[in-house]
Amino acid sequence: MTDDPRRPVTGLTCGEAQPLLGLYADGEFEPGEQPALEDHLAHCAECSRKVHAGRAFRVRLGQAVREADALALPPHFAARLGRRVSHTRVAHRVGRMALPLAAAAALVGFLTLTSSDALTAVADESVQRHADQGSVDFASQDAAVLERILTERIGHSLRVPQFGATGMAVRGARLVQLHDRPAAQVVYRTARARISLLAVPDPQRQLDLDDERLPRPEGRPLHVARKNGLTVVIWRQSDTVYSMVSELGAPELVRLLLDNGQRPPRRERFERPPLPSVPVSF
Amino acid sequence: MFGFGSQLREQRDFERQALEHARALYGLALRLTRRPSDAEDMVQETFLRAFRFSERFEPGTNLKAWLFRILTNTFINKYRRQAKERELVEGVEQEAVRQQLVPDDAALPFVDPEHALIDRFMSDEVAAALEQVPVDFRTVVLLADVHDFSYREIAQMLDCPVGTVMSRLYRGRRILQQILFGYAVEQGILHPERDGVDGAPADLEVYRRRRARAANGEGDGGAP
Repeated sequence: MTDDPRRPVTGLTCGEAQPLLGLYADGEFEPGEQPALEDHLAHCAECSRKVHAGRAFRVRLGQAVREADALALPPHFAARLGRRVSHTRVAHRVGRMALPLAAAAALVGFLTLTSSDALTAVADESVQRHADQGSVDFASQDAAVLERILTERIGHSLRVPQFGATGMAVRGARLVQLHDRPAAQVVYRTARARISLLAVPDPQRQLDLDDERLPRPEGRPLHVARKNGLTVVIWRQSDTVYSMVSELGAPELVRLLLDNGQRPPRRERFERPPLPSVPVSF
Repeated sequence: MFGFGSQLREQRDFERQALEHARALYGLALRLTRRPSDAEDMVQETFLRAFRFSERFEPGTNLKAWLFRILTNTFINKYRRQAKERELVEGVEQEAVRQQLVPDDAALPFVDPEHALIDRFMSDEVAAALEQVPVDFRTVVLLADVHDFSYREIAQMLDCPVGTVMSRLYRGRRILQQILFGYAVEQGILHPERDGVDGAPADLEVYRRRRARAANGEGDGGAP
């Protein structure tokens, strides 16, 4: 630490360099930012030694702790963390939406979807939720009442189609979450079957239902698919995408929609989805 | 094809990039909490917060620093208040603060290199010694020397002035060296009178008290 009388006049004294040595050793200065200090270090063995010692200490400390951390890492840490994070996120959503835990499985899969699976996800989600025969969040046989509740809760003007002409009565609705999107599931029942309808608000038209391979009888595509022994029909009506699921066969379910269209519902608010002009292959 | 899908893809990319830092986060959490189960919980909570508030992350900025900030905040809010060493930390901290921006020993952040003290210990011994450093100092030493953050990044993470980071860092290193010195004396590698370093006797007393506390099982789960 003693000043070297042979040091260059332009350089710093050890006393002046001293407060900067820690910063310098820690790499807090850009190269060339402290020319006077660098000049001093080039000529002062004592200060230079301190800087080297500081760096060596830091390197060894970092290396030692990182090694110890690696050894302390629990087996399968990353996989377990991924599972815990996914499950907790799902549980959080499910808890918040007061949904049955059985619905969690559907969301777990949904979190890891690829982009091209978005539409499939809607179909899968509606199929999964159809399987949940538990209680609804809002029980009502009045579609208008459910419409008002769901619109309030979701913040999107949601239409609840009615199929009164077909003997299919609404039973109630649940609030659901579709990858951070609020949505609703409406449950219907006929004498013969149970039908559920997932309604996903999509005012930004992000859910692109268009696909050139689909029949487009009225210029709009209609998706019909079979999944897990159930029929799924998906269509868009203005700012909402609907996915209807039932144990009924595909022709029967589509006909049910059309029959309803032949006799307009009481509120005149359900726009008949287009029917493919060619038979849909199931 | 689907705009909805592109949202999903962005979120998934973000999550994947974030999870690449999981091991480093676990390391920091372990050295802070000194309990593997607490560390795992803390890392999990960090990711849950990060994913929930992912829109607050500015793309192009340092994701690792952002995650470490969440973790240190989680630690401070959740675990730090439970720490039994609060009183001890405040005592040493007040002394450091009195020395203003750069403490007197800023130029002496390291012991005489001829001892090369740290090189004499196994990695797990070094890590165990670091766990004995009071938590405020330990946090800064971990962030700077183990995880390579700059003073400024650490100051942002801890929401404190850069000068505080510097004083805690230098002081933390010195405390660590004194603890290692105590280990070396215990193991017969060094002799206090012959090889003593500044302040070693007083800090050895601190070290021995902590060792005794650890031996009595008072909250030093990771102690050697």
